[in-house]
Amino acid sequence: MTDLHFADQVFNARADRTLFHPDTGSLLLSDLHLGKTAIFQRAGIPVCDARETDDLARLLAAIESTQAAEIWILGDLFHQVSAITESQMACWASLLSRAAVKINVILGNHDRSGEVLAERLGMAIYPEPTIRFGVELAHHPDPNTRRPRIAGHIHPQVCFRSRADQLVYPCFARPHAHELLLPAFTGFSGGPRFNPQQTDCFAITPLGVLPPHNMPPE
Amino acid sequence: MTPYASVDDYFNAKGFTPFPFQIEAWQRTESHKHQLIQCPTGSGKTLAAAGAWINWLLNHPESTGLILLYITPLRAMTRDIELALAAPLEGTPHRVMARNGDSTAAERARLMRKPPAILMITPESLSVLLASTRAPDLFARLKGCIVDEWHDLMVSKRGLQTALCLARLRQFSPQLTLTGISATLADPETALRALLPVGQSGLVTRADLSRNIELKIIEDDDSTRIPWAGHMGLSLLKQVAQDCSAGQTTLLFANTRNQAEQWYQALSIVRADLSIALHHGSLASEARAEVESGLKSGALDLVVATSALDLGVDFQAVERIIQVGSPRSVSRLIQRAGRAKHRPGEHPCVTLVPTNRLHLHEYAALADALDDCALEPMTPATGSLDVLLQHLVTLALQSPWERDAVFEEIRQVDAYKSLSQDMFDRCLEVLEKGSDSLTEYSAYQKLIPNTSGRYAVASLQIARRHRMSIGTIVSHSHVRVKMRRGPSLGEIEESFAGRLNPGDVFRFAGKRLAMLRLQDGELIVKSATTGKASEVPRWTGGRLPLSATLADRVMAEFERTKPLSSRIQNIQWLEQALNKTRWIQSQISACPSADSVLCERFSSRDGHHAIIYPFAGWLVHQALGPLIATRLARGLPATLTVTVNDYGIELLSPTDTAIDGLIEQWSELTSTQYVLDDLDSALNLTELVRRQFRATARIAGLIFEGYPGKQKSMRALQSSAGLLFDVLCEYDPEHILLDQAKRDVLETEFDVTRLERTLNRLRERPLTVCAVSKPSPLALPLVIERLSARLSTEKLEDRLRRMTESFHD
Repeated sequence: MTDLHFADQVFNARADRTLFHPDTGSLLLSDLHLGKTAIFQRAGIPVCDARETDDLARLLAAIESTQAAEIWILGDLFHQVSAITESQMACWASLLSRAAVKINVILGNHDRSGEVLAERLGMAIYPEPTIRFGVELAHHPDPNTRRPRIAGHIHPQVCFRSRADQLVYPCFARPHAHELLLPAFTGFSGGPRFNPQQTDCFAITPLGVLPPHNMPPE
Repeated sequence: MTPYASVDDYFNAKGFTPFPFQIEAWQRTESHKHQLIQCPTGSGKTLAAAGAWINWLLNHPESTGLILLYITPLRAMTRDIELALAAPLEGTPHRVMARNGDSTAAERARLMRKPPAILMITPESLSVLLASTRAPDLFARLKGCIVDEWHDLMVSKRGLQTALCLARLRQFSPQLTLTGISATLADPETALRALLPVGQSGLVTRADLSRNIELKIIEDDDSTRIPWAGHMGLSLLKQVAQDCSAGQTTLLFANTRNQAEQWYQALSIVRADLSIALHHGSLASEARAEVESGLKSGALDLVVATSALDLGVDFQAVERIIQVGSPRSVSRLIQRAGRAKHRPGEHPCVTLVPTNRLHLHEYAALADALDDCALEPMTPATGSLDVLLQHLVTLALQSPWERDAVFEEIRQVDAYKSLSQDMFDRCLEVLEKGSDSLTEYSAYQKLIPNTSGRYAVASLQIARRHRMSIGTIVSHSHVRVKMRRGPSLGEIEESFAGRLNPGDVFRFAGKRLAMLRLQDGELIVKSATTGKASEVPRWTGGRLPLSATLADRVMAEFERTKPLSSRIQNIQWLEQALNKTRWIQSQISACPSADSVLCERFSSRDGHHAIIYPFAGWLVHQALGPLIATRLARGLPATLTVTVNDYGIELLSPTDTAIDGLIEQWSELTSTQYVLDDLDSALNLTELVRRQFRATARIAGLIFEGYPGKQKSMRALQSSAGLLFDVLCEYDPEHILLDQAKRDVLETEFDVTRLERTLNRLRERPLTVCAVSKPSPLALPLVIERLSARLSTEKLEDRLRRMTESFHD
């Protein structure tokens, strides 16, 4: 867990790919892509069921450990709404019913016509952007907005390079003072790679969340 | 015109006399014997293999349907072979046709509607044909199948794919006669066995066309000395340039694309009077085709080329061959020498350009190896599961198949003859359920048993995707280089393109180019008029390892007792140069010998160095170095830096203790116990396997390169293969494809079998330790190249720490 300053406030960038706002007890995450695993399986690609249930388990653990008062999912809750089956819905609903707090969701581009399904999972739907603690919460980044914005969609990763070596990790990226991009919450996603020397990145590594220009913890 | 009465008639009409080996090959095919025709390029191999079938067709003008299949790995070759096969059939109703990835939809449709008598095809296209429900009709009358360049195919996964396809063809036409064509091999029987169904025998037909290769070495003079280290070789540019002349087509072989680009640049400047061209595998295919036709017609004076020109078509106009550096294997030298025109009674001569003095030892060793006909043994690829998985889906596309019958069919293939029922069942489970482990893949589908228990493809989507991704060739990730207004120039590695910034000038395809932008997976460039070209693109995998056969002989070169081979033209000069190196080596250190292992130790401001010389080639040294270092570092606080090349391994340590330890614990360090476990901790094996997994996943159909014209960028593909690898490692670590990727790494990147042999050899011999005051001639290339070839034995956490530290300051 590492302090992340954004819009004159302090957040916790967490190794479980969530962002916590201690002042309001809000837990933010983005890009869950539920159902992606099954889509891959149906195309003959072995990505196992546990890959997805682990994501949900991690979400429940994050809620538990932060004692969050409200949860915000910034879009792409589902991977492809039309491919979701009743049994998947039943499975997710039973897992999410263990969460003690309300989950709010801003729908993303993958969630088209997913309103009914999101409500059936007990979630409240908010428009994009929704303003909380002086910050716009949205799925899509918007370079023209004047207010600070926290967004998903991009699945940022950071790439450490040296002469003959490179390592890639998901990250929180702060391309501008007014823009904060959340990592994809699902562990099964790729994304564009930011250069840590050009963009402020909080890399999620086996050593913890590494803040930009800083040494990994000893 | 009236058709020829027979193939003999055709030869007579053209004024040729068939070679004895051609007649022999025809007789063998006529009596339905399988055979492997061993013969150098440009000596009538096509007609040797196909002559008997042409004869049959000439005698059966009424026959319809596909009679002969001609499989060739090289698309570029098909046109020439097509002409050679069509000429004797002129005037008959029989047609010759080529089917490959470039064929149009109309051509493909015609192939099924009205099959030609002879079809030329690549292994990939054959596999695509076999995935069609009409395959049984198309191949029902097939009598013969010729596999060209079998020596090249059989060592790779393309060879496995070919062999699996042949097994299916035999189901349609059990009497199929197989003919392989190969270059000269050390062990043709093994190559033949790999081609034939298990239990069947065949004959080796040898073309007795000995080509006694002569060697000429470019000499240095007082103004230009051959350096002790280095691999560009431009110090001898003047001599090489003088050696070329207009009107006498010369082919200059470089070992890497980088080297080819640099030699092309340099020669274009000093010999502006000649018409010079560049040819390597990364250039656009149109550009390559143009060079190839220039070579055929003799319009070019000089072509700088890489191994992309090793195989394939003959260039009748080529008069001379120049090899820059060492060809690194005996077979490659013969192959390259064979690219020149052959006049009866004349010996082909290869001009060798040493890029460092140790190459002279390699040349002397090469000449001896040629005298002894000591060619590198070639081992056919063993049965990979990724290729098998792909083939099983291909078969299901043709028609639903029955488990036991297909298992028997697969086991008929030599490479898969020891595939167990258990392993086959595991593969089936992977296709049916995603994995053979307990891991759940509840929505997984690929093959499903139908009501009669036969396996069929589960969905149209899977069928379509599979057809699009048949094949075993996996390219590195490349981006196309394109002029802003104008043609595409070729491809360079994505990692190189990613490092360029707009305005940067680099050299490629023999041009100075300025980068404009990277757009939609294309690198848009314009000609650079100003600005210094700082870089030539680097290509991974361009380095050729020294063959084991040659490495052994190079070591023996230091103890030479017999005279140099007479095939070397400037034998006296070479003798003196070799003696000089031996003398300096023995003055500073000692010469390597067969009954001990030479170890040199010295100190510098970098630390304490120890260099050992196993002479096993860098493929083996790459694994051996870190293995010894890891074992040595156990219980020692020191970090060791390992550098390897073809001759030796350097260990660099900040303390003296590690070097003492190396000498004291020699036999433990070279133990063959726990080799794989120790390698695992020495090499970041996981990272290497992760990289290899892209190929494995691509062949097994786990990742998809997109529909034609809509190619997903390779970077996206790469990350998704990496992602799949991570997910499989975490949730299903026993998955057969992970195991396959690991085996591929150990086999292809390290040659683990040879590693174990080398360890045994090292352990049996004492270490001869020489304390030296300065690096010996043998050590110099290692010491100088240390920075470029350093291997990391660090753990992931350490790598991360180091890399984040380095950009902190």
